[in-house]
Amino acid sequence: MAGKLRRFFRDKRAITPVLSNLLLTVVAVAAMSIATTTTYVITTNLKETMSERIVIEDLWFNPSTGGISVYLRNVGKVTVHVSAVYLNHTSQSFTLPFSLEIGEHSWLNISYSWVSDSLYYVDIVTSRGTHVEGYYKAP
Amino acid sequence: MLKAITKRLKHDKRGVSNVIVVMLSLVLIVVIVANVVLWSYQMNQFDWERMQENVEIVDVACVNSSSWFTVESEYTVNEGSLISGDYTDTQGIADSYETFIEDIIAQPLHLHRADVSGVTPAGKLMNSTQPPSNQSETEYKISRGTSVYFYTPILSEGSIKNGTWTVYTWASTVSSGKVSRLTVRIHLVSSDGSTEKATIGTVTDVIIDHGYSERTITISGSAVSVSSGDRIRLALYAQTGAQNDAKGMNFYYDGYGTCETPDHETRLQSPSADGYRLDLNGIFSIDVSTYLLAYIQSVEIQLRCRANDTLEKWYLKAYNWTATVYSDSGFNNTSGHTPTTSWDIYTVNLTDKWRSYVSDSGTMHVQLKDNQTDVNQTAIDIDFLAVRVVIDGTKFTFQNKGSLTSHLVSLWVNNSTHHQRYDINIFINSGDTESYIRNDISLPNETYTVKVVTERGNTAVFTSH
Repeated sequence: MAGKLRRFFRDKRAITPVLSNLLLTVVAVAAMSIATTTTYVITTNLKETMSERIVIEDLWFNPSTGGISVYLRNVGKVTVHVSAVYLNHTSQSFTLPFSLEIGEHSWLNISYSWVSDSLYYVDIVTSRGTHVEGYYKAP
Repeated sequence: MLKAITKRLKHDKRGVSNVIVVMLSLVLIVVIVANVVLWSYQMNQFDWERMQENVEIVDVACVNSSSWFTVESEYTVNEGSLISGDYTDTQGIADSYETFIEDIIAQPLHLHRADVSGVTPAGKLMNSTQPPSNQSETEYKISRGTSVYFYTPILSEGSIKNGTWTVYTWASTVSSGKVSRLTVRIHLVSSDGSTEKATIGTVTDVIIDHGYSERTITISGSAVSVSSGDRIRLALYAQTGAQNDAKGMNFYYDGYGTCETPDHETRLQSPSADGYRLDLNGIFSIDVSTYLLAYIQSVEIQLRCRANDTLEKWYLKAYNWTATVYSDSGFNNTSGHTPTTSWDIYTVNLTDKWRSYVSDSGTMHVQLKDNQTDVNQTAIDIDFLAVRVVIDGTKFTFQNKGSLTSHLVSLWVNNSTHHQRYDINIFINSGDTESYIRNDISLPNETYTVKVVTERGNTAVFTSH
């Protein structure tokens, strides 16, 4: 048995073609895996970006808290994550993290001292870059 | 030829790998394009549908009562008869109506544990009053060869017609595996019981075995004339004889417990009481999914009727789910209604006691009953009988002017200081107008805005002026 193994390792003929074929196969499989994964990632991102729809049901200049509360509803086909809120193009702090599952709806509270009779441009941005925006006048 | 081509392909490997790479790349591109294009198509369709949606709030108004909830099945006539029509004739004010007529009724005489004074042989009371609902039943043992007597209160002058008398009793022998033979005698006796003035009826050898159950014993009764001061006496006699249980028999009476339950008391039922009565009840269902119980202020019952006897009073009662009896306790009007021969409306309000009369599922049992037995056989026509709830709510009217069915999911009632959201779930077909009542929403006194949001994300707004 030991003799047979020794003879196998000493016999170098035809090893190079076998190794090269193996290497080629591995490279081909790896390349296709990368291509498939990339395709999946690209299409998933595209689909998710296209599927995002959120609406502002209500915006309340809340006199009791002094802040602004926005009631958002996810009417799209993917979970949304709000990443930024802008008031008059200035980033504002809000309750983080704020995510809405499909069909979910909730208040988003913005810490901002609003002024009566002032006009505000509210812009809410999701993590995928979708904007929902509008002008609102404080009572 | 084919063999030659195959051989050439086997030898010529050049270009095969290129073809495979191109094919795989094409597959990947097709997958990407199909995915993106199909999804884009779906989302475009969603956006197009959203643009087509057009819902309006036509009106917003305060409401103080619900619509009428009418009877949903035929009335149960406990005493009296249905002459014509059916329950659907009482669901709306119209030309059609349902007619009931009083019947001669069999009067139940309930057996009580209280002794009657001044009678011989000594005996206990028997009258038309049911035992109190909270009174526990009691047991009486009749030893073999002995009797127990029950007397009615003193009667007025009149007559008792012939007919079938019935004794309902919860009885059993004392010993297991034995039987007793019971004799039942009904007599018309003098006020002190000492003189048997007439025998109304007798039945013997009624077998009572071991184990309590409701026994029904029928006695054929003769017609007798009643003088003022007479009484009716019921005698229950456990017969002698070795074949009968030496320890006698027991029976339960005068209350409720393991054996006796409401409407299954021990009693003697006469064939008639020389009078006419009508007693009917219907089942009504309040839509508690629309009119939440927590926000109902009261309940009203309305009757539109006429009768051929304008001397008799009629009462509306409802089943009290707590006390398990029909009652009008707590109603704003318990004095009854005397109808005329033309159509009258009689309405009672259950005030703040309404909750005892409405089950958790919104079911109400309403009873219409005359005052008492009388000599006139009255017919009553019922045109309308219904219940409704008294609320402090709001009625919203929505109209779908779009070409697609809309699903309304949010309702907002906002004023300058407060924004309040309510979950709703209303589907409105294209072109339809839908009314929606909420008894948990009260409109603000000052200017307000009502908004409704659809599942697709569109909003309709109504502002008060």
